[in-house]
Amino acid sequence: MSGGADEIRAELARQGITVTDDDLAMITTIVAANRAALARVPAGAVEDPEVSHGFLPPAPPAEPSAVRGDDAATPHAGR
Amino acid sequence: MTADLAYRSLTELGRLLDARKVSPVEIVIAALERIERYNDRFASYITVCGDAAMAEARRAEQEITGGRGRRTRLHGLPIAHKDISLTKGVRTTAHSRCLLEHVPDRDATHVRRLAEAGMIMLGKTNTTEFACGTMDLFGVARNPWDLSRYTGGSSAGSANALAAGMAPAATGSDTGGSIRVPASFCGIVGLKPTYGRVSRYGLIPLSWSMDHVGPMARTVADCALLLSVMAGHDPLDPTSARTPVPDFTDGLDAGVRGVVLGVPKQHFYEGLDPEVDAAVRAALRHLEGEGARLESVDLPLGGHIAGPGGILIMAEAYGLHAGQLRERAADYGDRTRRRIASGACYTSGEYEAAMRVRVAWTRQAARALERVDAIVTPTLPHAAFTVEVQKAGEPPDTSWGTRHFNLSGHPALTFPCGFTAAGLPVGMQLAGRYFDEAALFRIAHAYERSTPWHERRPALEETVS
Repeated sequence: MSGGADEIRAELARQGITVTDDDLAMITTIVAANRAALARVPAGAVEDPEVSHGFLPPAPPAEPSAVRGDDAATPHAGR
Repeated sequence: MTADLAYRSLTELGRLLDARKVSPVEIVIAALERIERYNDRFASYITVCGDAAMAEARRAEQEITGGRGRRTRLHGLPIAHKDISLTKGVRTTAHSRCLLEHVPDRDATHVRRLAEAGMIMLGKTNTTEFACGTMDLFGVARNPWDLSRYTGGSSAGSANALAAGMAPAATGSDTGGSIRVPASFCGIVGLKPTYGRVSRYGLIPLSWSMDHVGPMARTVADCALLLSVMAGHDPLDPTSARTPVPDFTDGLDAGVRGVVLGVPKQHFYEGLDPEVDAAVRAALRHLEGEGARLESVDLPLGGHIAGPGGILIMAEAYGLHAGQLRERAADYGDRTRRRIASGACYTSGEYEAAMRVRVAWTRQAARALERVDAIVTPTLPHAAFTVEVQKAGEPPDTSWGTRHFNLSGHPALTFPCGFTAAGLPVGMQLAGRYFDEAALFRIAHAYERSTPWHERRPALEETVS
């Protein structure tokens, strides 16, 4: 979501919440302020999560690798 | 007699009861007379349980004078509960039109524990709607130090009832500062315990991962006494801890010699009102004079908690309220409805990013608390603002220095550390290690016993026409 008023109204409507124009103005302000504050958190201040499973999905390759058709169809198959 | 009782602490009232110099009935009458006189002006109580309180007081009097004495240190003493804690047979509204006729069939665990200790419920105190909105139905709780000023929220009625002598003890809940903010604005003591220390069973929830229940009183010792009864594992609340509960009044007099207090380098001492800055720095010097050592602590995320905290609290609040918002949106106050609905608008990626900040902040605070016994900050950067400011648009961010410890779960206590030239209280916050509320009580008590702030009373007669 980009957070524009129309998009927020649509998302709320999708979830069954009807809002007035005044509601929408304040909700948009709150959401924009929190998003802006979250975006200001210094990137280096937040570490990657520790995953207790001992495995993280590998970073995507720089170039898309060739994927065989049967692998693509069964993404959980043995990798 | 009754006027003399209004500002006695729980501890003092208990001594008077033990010495048979006063009865529970006299204590309850004193509180009810104050409520009768001041409640309309200050909007402290939503529901007053006068008849039931008197009946309880008479029962306590018979028990105490019947030869058995008091069964606990709280027996025969009155308390007020925030109107967000379920009380069996007594209307519990959360200051919401949605719950105007809501009479629970059970007590919240902390209500039950305090009643089992012999405390007498005076009534249910005012709160912002669902602990996050406005006070439209039952009036805005006013600050006894200045009637034009706000009490802070959401445990507003508990704080101003204490400041106005309408109760000697109260409970509150704290999701982003809702005990500490009104306690600071009203010049009383309030504790948000460690997450898990006090059961939340029977508390109308706002944010499951950040809601806390805690004690509010006019002295540190009284808060310690209350927590000793409120705390402990509760099988009805899976988030309550199995950690042993000490008698928190033990060791209160140990002083602060050798105690290390962490003074954050970032955020908490920036942009303060000059009078708050002066009061807090004077309090730091005072604690140094009492034997504490001050040490700077690095908390670089201190100024970056508002956004992530707001996302997480409102996402959780929306999760709880979504169904009712769909069915009864018009029954919510405007600000409450809008704030809670905002929680529907974040993506899972934003929620996850906010959680990462929460984890990183929690680690920062915990690392700092490995080196110091407590982190010390102003509770708020300013004294109480006016009710008009509170009503207009988006008021100042009162969780500026408090929500940090809801995110991390560390215990945090506020106590009065001075007054502005206009006579408004200033609060100081101590945050400590997990389950080490005892250290916070000890430090705050050392300050309190050597300063006069907790003895100052608002001039209520000037505010009553």
